[in-house]
Amino acid sequence: MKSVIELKNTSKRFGKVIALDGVSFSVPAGVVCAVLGSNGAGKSTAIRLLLGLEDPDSGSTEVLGMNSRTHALEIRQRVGYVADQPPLYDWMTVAEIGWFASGFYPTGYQQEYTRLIERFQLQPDQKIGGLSKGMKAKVALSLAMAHRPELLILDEPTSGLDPLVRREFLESMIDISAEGRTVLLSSHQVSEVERVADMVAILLNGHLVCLERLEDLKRTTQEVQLSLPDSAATPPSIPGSVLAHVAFGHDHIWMVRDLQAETLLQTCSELSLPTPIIRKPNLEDILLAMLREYRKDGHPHREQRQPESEPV
Amino acid sequence: MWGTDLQSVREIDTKSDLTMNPFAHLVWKEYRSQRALWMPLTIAAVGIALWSLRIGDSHPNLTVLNGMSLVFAVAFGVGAVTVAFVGEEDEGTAIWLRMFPLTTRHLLCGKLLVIIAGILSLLLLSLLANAVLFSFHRNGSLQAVFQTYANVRPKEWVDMLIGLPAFVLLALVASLTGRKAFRALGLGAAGMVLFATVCMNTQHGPQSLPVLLIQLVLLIAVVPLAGRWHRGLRSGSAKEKTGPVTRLLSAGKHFLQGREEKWIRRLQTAASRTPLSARTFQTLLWRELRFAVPFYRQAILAAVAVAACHVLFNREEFPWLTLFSALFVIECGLRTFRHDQQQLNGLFWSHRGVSPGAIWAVRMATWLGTLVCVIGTILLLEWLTMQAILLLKWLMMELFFADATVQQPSQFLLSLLTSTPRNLLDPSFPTLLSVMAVNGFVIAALMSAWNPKPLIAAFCALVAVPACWALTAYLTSYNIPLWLTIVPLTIIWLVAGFVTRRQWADRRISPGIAVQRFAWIGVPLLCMIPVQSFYRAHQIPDADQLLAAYAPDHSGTGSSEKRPLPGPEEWVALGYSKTNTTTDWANDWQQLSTLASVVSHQTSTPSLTLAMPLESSQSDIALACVDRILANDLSTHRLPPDLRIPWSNVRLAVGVTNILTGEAQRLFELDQKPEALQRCVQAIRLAVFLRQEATSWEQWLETVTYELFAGQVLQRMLFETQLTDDELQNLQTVLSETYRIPSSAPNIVDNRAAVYFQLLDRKGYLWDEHQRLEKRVQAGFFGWPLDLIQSSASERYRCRRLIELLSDYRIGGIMNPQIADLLIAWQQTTPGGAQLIWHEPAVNGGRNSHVERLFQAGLIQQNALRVLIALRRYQTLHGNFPASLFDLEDAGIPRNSRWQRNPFTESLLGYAPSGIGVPVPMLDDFGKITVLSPDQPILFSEGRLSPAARSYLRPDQEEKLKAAALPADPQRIWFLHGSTILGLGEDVGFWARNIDENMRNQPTSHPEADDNSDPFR
Repeated sequence: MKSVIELKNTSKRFGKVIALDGVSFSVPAGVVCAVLGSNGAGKSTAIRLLLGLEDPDSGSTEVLGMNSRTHALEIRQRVGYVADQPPLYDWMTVAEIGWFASGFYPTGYQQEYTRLIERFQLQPDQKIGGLSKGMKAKVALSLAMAHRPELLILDEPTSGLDPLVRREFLESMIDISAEGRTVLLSSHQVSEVERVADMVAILLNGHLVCLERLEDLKRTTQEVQLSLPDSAATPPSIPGSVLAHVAFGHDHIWMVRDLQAETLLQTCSELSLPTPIIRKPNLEDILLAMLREYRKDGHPHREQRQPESEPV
Repeated sequence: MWGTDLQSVREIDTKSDLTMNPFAHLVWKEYRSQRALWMPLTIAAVGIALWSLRIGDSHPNLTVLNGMSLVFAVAFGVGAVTVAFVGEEDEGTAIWLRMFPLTTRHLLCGKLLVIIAGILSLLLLSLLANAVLFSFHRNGSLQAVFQTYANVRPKEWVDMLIGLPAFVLLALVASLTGRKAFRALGLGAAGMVLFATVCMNTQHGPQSLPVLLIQLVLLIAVVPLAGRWHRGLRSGSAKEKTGPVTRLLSAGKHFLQGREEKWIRRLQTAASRTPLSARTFQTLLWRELRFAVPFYRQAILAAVAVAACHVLFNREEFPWLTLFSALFVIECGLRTFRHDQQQLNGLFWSHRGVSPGAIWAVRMATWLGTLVCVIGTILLLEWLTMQAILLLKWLMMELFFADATVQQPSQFLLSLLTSTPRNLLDPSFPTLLSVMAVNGFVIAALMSAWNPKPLIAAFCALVAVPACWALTAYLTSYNIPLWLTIVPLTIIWLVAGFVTRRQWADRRISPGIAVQRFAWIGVPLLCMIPVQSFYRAHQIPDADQLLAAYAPDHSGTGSSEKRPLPGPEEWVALGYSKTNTTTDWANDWQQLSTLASVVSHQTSTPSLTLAMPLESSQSDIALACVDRILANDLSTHRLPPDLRIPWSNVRLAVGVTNILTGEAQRLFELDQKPEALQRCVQAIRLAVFLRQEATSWEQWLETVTYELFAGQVLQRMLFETQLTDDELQNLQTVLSETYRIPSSAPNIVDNRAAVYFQLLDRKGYLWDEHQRLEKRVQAGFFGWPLDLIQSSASERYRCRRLIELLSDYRIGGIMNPQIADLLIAWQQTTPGGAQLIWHEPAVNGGRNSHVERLFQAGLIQQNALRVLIALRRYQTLHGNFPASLFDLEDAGIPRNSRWQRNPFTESLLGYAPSGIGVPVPMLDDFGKITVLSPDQPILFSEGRLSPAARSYLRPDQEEKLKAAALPADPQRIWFLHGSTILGLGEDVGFWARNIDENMRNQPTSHPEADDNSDPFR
């Protein structure tokens, strides 16, 4: 299946700061892909590169099969984008800004926009400058979705929205992907993203540390907790790919992929160690473990896997 | 729910055409964005035109109005470009705009179309308003509206057409490349200053080749820059530093950055070793310096570019650099609090327990220090550039014109190094510069602290700072010192910044805060008005204070003549009464005045060759009036008040004298010579009377001038008329009676005070007359000093002080140039001051003033005429002239009489019955040169310009003078009063040049053959 989004060995730096360092990944059509990472990880830069707002220093980016650098105009016509804290014209009214934007998109934009602002319970004659942060976000979402884009790129779209609208909005992403359209979602609301995302890309300081179907990631990742008899005792080697390891005195926690649980239990038994607690972590646990590990080591683990199967 | 809704909407065909024209939407958006800028500027441009019509009753200057329109159009262009590009960048809306599927061409064209339309509409509206208002004001109709601009030369239109887009292009390039609005504005302004510099220093101005090339480059740069702007490409990307120039710049930057980091580390180390409070202070200081150092670097780099213009155009005096520093002043002030507007640093610091006061103090100190460094460096740079240019010129002279060397190299270099910076030559300049710089800084800092939006803060500062400076310049031109204008305002606004120091962190605005801010700005400005009025009213001291302050030999008392000026009760005695307008005396004067005005228009100078006597009927009426007037006792009668008004009675003496001397000439030609002489005496008598009644120095000068003229006519007729001894004796008696009118003191001081005090006090005859005229004429009346009449009470008080000072200040007494300068400065800003000080001896040379010289000449001529009549009597009795003036006893002048003496020096009048042996060039008061023969008998006054100074004449002129001299007439005596004889001091060169030209123009003609060479022949 042809990728909707594709980054090939893309790098971008601003002065001394490396925003993206040789990142490569692709997102197939019809999925909700969540891009996660700490602040300054390069999420927004990746989005700007995809939209052709920035040129990569090396590598290339493609959206809907078109190069972002050479076909920025076409890409923008078929993509909807909502930025974090969308900078709209304060002096326009809600209706005026929709009318203004409708000039740049095909037939039906105005009607769809009107319907969306009614759905968001926005007053058409209200000035943008007088709206709250959440209401501005609603206007921005309406503007981005009114032309029914093939790819919807959302950079922190739900910040400022009330919980009910946020929940409804995120769940609507599933419906959009069901129509065969793709959603690229950058958010810090990990627990909520987890409910809707099909794929997860984790960026840490410009490096892609994980790109995988969420289902696979969660299925293959396990958390191991082990309390050693004393803090001087040597912890056992963990059979599997350790994503992260945190020690609190004599308590140890590992985030492990492809854990061979039987082997671990046997090792603990041989070493007369207590039986470790093995559980399935949620996405937030995995992300936090990765972040902690990154901070400890200073560089990310390059544990990148391609999706094992096509998304639904 | 959401998904269901979305699915229910029909699919949108993304391949279909756009429903609306994106260009139209863009234009609409830009129009709405620019409207807020366009409207106030257009209203201001038209408002200024309207306001200028209100100022005074003079015609507005259309060129200035059009210049203002152009400035407003440029201001809109620059502002609109800033709002359209870098403003969107600054506000963040550019990010959203870029997300639209929109070509750069559409975007650029849409924005530029609105900007250009805005500029043109503003300019056209403003020019049209100027033309309409100007035409209406001048003609009272709109007929000439379309002809108003017909006189504008085509070159000026072309200059405007080239200059206007250039400014906008510069702003456009700066706006497309900048990320921050004010920085782009600053860069644009710097570019505009440079562009104006180039324009002013090239031969054809805006149409010269370098200027056109600059514009071409700018025009070519716009399209690629617009593309970059549309894509939002940022500078600083590693890939963009691959060019050779970029690498070079990058290397330089890294070098500086390395130094900076080292320096910062040291500061941090120092901070960590000190107690907490000091460390906080140092941390704050370090943080501000982080921002200040790069700014300083930028400022110096920009100043270097401007300084290069000195070298490029090879000129030492170049004020642009100083003006250029004004931008740094505003930028420095804005940077003081700009970081907080964007990053909420104020809250950051306040949460860490740092008081806003400490932050305020550190920031103000840092940025004020930076400003001082910047300005100092700019001035130093300018001085060094000037010296370099001088050195270059000197070297060029050495290399190519070795003969022209006037100084040794060592001397020259020493003089260069030790010379005062040329930009600081005027001692008041550094004070003014520093005060204005601090004021601009404080205002900009205040705007920055009070406005949460950087763009609004920058706009407010850009409006407020020049406005404050313009106000200061305006008030300074009215003699109000800096400590009453800009200094207290600066201090108050500095205090305002400190008092409202928490507001920059709070970033809130409420009605209370708004009122507080208006109060901080408005109340000091309003308070300035009464303070400045009080100062202006009391600025002019009395004469004693003035002399004590400036005259080194003044003891503090007595050098000035205190004279009680006439009060309301004395005005009537001086002739200002209603009854004095209805008597026969007054009617005769009115009639004579009317007829005199006809003559005076015909004869503007006292020359008989130009005299145009009245028609016989009119002449009879005028002479009858004169006879009736002179039948009254002139020592008790006063001139009717309508003729005493200084602004309506300037030429009365001219007309009256011309009527009488014209009549005398007519009678002389009819051989009625005694009657002719009688008319001359009448002319002298009336001139003396009018001098006594004069209310302005202009009137006074005319009376003396025409008294002298009538005396000269009398002198000529005296020696060309055969009169009996009795007739001559009678003439002597009449003349003595004429001069008996008390006229030795210039009563003008009293008369002038009486006139002005009536208007200043708003009571008395003249005030009533003004009120009456105002009701009758309504639209105003010619000549009255309306600026004085309509001025405020304080200004009228100031005028009164000036009159009192001028009256008390001894005429011809101590003459101090500083005092004269002060008096001139005060009169220039006093309503009615121009009329007051016109020919005023106190400021026009004291004893050397025209008034004083003419006054002396008049009094000397009074004695000399008596002596001349006596000499004529002696000649009639004995057939020749006496050997000495002491031999005139039988001719009516005793040996011990004062008449043969100069009343000012008490020395005898000069008397040479056989001439003085050298030709005497004589310049009368009307510029005509006559050369008397060396053998011509003359009577002369021993004055500072006496013949005794003939040795100062150049020897090589003697032969020329002899050739130009009139033939000697031994039967006639010429009287020459001191001021008409050539020969002393600095006058020699001037007069000699005039003689040269006179002779060059008439090299062959003999004076006898030339009627113009002698008016009496």
